[in-house]
Amino acid sequence: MDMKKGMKGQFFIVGAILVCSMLFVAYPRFAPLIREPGGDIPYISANIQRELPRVMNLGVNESAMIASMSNFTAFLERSLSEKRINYTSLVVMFRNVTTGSDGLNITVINELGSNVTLTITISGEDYGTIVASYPDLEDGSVNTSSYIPVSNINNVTVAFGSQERTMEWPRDKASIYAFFRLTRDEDIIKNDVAG
Amino acid sequence: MRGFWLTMESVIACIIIASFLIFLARYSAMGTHEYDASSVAYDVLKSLDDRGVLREYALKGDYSGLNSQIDISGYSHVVNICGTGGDCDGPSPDSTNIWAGSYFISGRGIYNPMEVRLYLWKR
Repeated sequence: MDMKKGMKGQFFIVGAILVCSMLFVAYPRFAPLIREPGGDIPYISANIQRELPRVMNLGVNESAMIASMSNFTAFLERSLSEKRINYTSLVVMFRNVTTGSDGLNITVINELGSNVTLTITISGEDYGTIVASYPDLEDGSVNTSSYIPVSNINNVTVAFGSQERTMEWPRDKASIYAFFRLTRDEDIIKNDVAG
Repeated sequence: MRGFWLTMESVIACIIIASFLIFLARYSAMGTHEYDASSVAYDVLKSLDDRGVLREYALKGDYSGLNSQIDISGYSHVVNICGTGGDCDGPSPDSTNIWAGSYFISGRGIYNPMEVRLYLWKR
């Protein structure tokens, strides 16, 4: 028997093993790159989204709206840091200067970890449009501004960075817009709440 | 014809070896994913809040009463209630393989923030 001819099949198999090994090495590169945040972050995000309006309302009841929200923000930052989650937020609260008046107080709490340029546009049927600009709102700052007059029912647009949200604000109701981020390693969730 | 059969032999060898290696790669990539019960913990705490039970017990600091409201098949559990200072009241979990779920509340009627933690472990 011709040994050289007889060995051809084995060379084919060796070649097949080499080709398959190269495929095996390359296989992980085809793994999906899209991933969803895992573990507890989505649930904590939903929890915070439900709770922030409550914080504002409880603070309004106790005439300590700003202090309550600042305190709750600090509480979340500390508690979540123990779980290796970085919590950052921007909270805007709207409220009558006094009940029944046509004056408005806007309070902005920036805990995003960086300065931010914020624009709030308020437009209603009775009066013209008010534009509240915060060109370089410092991180860690609390800013309260007053505007007069404002309509009974208003459309409010809050815009900063790539975020923009429009909500309806009845003048005699304390309202909130809050944007927050939860970050742990590669997992990031951004969420907002308006109401 | 001989060349044809040799080619077939190599193609079949490729298929067999590739199938084996891909199976091996998938198995090692999957690893041994252990079930994450932290979502169970959160769902339990949320359902207690929806029923109006969670805040009532939490604001009284009654972690054992809150724990008695929880029944999860196949798991043992304890509840801790933590204040803003990081101090927590409640027993430590009695296991080495524990899942934990946290639920943040701001208060009820008055502002009184706290974190309710539910620790779960398999019986």
